[in-house]
Amino acid sequence: MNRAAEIARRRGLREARTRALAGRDGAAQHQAPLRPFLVCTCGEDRYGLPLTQVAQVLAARSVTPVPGAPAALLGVIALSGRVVSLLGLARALGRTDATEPGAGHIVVLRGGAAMVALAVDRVEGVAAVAVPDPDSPASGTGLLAPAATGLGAEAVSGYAPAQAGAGDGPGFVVVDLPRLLRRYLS
Amino acid sequence: MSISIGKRILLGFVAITVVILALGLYALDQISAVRENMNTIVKRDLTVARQLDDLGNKARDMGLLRRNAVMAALMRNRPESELTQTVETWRRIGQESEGLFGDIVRTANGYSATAPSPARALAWKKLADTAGLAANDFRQLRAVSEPQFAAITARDTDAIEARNEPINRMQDVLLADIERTREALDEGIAAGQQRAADIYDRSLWSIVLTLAASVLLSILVTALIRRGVVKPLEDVMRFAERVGDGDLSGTLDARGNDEIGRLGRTLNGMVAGLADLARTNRAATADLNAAAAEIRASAQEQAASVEEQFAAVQETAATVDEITHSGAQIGKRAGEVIATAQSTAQTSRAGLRAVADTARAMEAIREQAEAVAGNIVALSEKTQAIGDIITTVNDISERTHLLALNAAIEAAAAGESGRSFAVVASEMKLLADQAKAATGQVRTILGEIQRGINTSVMLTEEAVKRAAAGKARSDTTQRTIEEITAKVEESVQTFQQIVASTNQQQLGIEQVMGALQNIRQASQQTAAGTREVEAASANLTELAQALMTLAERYRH
Repeated sequence: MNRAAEIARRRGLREARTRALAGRDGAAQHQAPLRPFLVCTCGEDRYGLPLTQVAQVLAARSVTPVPGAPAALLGVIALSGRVVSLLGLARALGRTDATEPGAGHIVVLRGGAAMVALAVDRVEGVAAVAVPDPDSPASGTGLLAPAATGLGAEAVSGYAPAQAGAGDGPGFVVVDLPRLLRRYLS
Repeated sequence: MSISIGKRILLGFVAITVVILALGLYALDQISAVRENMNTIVKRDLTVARQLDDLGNKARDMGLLRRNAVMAALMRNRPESELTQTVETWRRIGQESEGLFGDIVRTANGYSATAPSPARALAWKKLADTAGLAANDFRQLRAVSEPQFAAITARDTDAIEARNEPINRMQDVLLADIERTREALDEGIAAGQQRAADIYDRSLWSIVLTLAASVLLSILVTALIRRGVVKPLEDVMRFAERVGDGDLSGTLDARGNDEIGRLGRTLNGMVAGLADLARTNRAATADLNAAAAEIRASAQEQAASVEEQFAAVQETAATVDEITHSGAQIGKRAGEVIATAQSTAQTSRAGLRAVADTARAMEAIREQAEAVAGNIVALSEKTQAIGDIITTVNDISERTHLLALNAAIEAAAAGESGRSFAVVASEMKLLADQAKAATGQVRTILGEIQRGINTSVMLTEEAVKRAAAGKARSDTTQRTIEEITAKVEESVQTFQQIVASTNQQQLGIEQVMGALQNIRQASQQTAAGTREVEAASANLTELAQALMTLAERYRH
């Protein structure tokens, strides 16, 4: 390692930081409303849930199975004296569910006739994505169309790439919760 | 003739001896007769001669006495007693003379009666007669002398003178008579000598005759022996000469039972035996000739083999010399090996000590490794406790994480008023995530530590096992080195024995060298002996041929 290579490497690092600072300033200028999402992981997949529809995040607890229920309905749990239905997010989205019982996190949703909770592997954190219309999330500039992402599921409203969100990890799939819950709550 | 020759010769000698013995006895008898005759003659003659001498002396004494008495009476001065004594003496002697005359006459008459020869008897007779005459004369003398003595006693001188003359005459007559008697005795002596000479002559002749007879007898015996012994002996001698010339074909005509006959038969048997012997001898000589030839061939072969043996002995001596050198080298090498083995034994003892040290060190290593294992186990327990703590911290961080999320949810639900609280929740979540990441790192590090501890435990156990194995191997090595030491010491002893054996071997080889020298000398002597045997066998062959020639002489 000679001196010229060291100088070149330092110069490269400085240029990269300069570009990153320039890009952050640009994004702040263009994306006017930022919508927060709760980012969860199921297996290899990452999903984003609108933070406004989330009531509470819990650690996994004992699940009581319900006979005759669909495959996605894992069972019911007791929460603050109320019975809450627990749906496996991966199963509900038609993905393979690898979560073992007793592990993972539970995301309690707010609103609706019945209390519903989603079982995920882990809740990563909160990510803000620029979405112009909260009711049609797929129309936002920060989201890509589902057809563009290759995801054929109906409950998916779009895909947030990694550079578009504020999360640490790669991009995530934005889940359209009302559409997802529709078939289970009807 | 059945009397043997020995008996014949004995008989002849006995006859001759008997004749000679008879001759000797006869001669002895004659000598004895001569001696006796001479003794008789000498004794008688001497007796009579002594008596005659005595008588003569007495007659002269009487004459002297009478004359002395006469002279004494005439001188008148003599005493009477002396005269008387003289007269008495004269009468006594006269009486004795008278007795002597009687004796002589009786003796002569007796001798005449017993004389061995007539001449001697005649001589004795004559002597007796003469003595008788002399006695008569003596008696007359005495008768004449008595008156004179009476006159003497009476001192009658005239009477004495008157009677003196006849008395003297008578005295002379008497002396003459005695002298005649002596002559008669001499004649007797002469007659005795004649008698002895006669006896000698007769004996001489008879002995000569007997000698001649014995000579004749001897000649006769010799002739008989010659005819009976020598002539057959000459026949036998001629036969023996023929045999000596080699003619074994004839036989001797042996008759009779005497020695010659027996000798002849014995000679016939001997000649037959000699013929047998000659035949056998001829065959044996032929065999001897063949055997001598074989001996010569064998001797030549033996000479060749002795030469080979000599060469072999030389080679053996050279080989033994090399063996001696190599034995010396073996001894030297064995000494070096002993030194090396002793140093090896010392080295192995040092190695033994080192291995014992190693075993102790292995034991110490094992103990220390066990202590390390104990420490590592304690460390593992500590890390387990750390893991528990980390789990607790992780749990806390997880709860904090959820708490931060719920806070963020509540802040979002609060809307614009919860914005600052959302920032706090975000910071909390960031802290929780950092704590979780730190616990993850710690967990990872702990896992690595745990793996390292497990590896260390395994390695320590392996080290303990290897230390034990090393100790076991050290023990094995110790035993092995002990065995090696023992074997090396045995090897030292063995090599010392080898050295001793080699020395003894050297001595033995020197003896072998001496023995080989002896063998070489013996081989040379054997070669010389073989040459001599060869020469001797050649001589033997010649001798056998000469013997064959000699055997040809004997005809049978």
